[in-house]
Amino acid sequence: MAARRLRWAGGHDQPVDDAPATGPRAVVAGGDAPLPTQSLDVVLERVARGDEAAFEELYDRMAGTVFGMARSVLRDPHQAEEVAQEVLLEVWRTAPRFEAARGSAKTWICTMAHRRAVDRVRSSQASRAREATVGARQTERDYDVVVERVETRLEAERVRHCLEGLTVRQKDAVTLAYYGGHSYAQVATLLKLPLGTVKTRLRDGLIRLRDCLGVGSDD
Amino acid sequence: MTDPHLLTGAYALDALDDIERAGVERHLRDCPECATEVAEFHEVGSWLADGVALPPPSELKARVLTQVRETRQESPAASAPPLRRAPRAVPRRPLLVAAAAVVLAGTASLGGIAWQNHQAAETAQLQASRIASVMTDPARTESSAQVAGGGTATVVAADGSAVFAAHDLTAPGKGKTYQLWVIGSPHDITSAGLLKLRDGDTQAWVADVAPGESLAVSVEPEGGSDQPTTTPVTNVPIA
Repeated sequence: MAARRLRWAGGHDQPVDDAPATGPRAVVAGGDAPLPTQSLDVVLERVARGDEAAFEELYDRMAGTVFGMARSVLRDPHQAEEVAQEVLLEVWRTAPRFEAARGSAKTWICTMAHRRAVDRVRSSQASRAREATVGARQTERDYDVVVERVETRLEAERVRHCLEGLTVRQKDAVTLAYYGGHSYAQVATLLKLPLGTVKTRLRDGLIRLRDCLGVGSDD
Repeated sequence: MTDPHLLTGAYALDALDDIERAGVERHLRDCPECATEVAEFHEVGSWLADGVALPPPSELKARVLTQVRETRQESPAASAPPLRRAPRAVPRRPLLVAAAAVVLAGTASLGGIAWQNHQAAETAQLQASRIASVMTDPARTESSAQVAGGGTATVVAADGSAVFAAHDLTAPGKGKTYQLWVIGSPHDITSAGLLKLRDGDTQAWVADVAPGESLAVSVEPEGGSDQPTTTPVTNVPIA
């Protein structure tokens, strides 16, 4: 199936400051052999063999992404923390079952995390209270916050750029679904659009993001 | 259902309900292009997640690392996890487990939320896998009917169990509830439990049904009845 096409040549697994071993960061004072940072896929392979130090490295590189995304979906920092904890433990537990052929370690973790966060929203009382308060105005504000955050992170410059490349309506739909954890039916209600239109818009928006980000373009 | 191919976006964004989700998952196994598309969309998702990264609470790390030390890892899977039906070890009817989201309805003081969520998640998983078994069974049958008072009801059945799903229902009214029935004949009506609505939607998995029977819903006093006391608002035959 998808396998090979998934790898994006640029490997965004790598945080920006991992970049090539040319700067002073690359050499450990004292003359130990320089250890270029391993790709997250390699780290996850070590985790899969029960390497707790590797897991700690994985935590340092992924916890912020998992927590931030859960926070965006759930809004409540405590619930976001619980979800992040569950997901990271799940990564440890199921790492031996990770199949590199099906996608990158980062995508695997993010996919699991988003699903968990959304499950939590849908199964928790919070969703009811939340729906009650989410009016269009609230949504716009959330969206602004998201955009602002995206803009302030250098490594997300590309994401921001690509989001800006969507039509306003595609961006609204994708943002409400991904960052807001809304079902497409809720997106349809919030945007006052027919269900079919929202489905199409989500897919078209993702296709445009995919192409802009260069996902799956290495063959 | 909508052309599953058009649902890849909503699927990858976790924006579908359980029923549609199961339908797309089944489609993905027959459609490599769609599976590729979903995988690519998931990768787009990881970029989007990057965009909102935040420093996690500092005490989280110690907590996770402690748990990791105490948690055994799974053994590597021989292959992709099977989607085949689990062995039937389920009670006979009447049995209905309302969908996970619904379990929580009306409960929850703050202190209990984490545990309830945990339970809900477990129930959700069990429900989702039962529902998925039915929805992905190649021999499944499907029938639909309108609901008096608004909405539609669909029954998907396979191998002796069924998924009942209804959309856009109106609230049953104060002090009243929707109750689901398995109707074998006018003299063989068994309760399959109470339906709870969430945003007008409800779904349930019902064990031990057979073609020729039907699933019906009636409005009953809160707490339910032994036998229907009002004319069913819908009656969907199991094909």
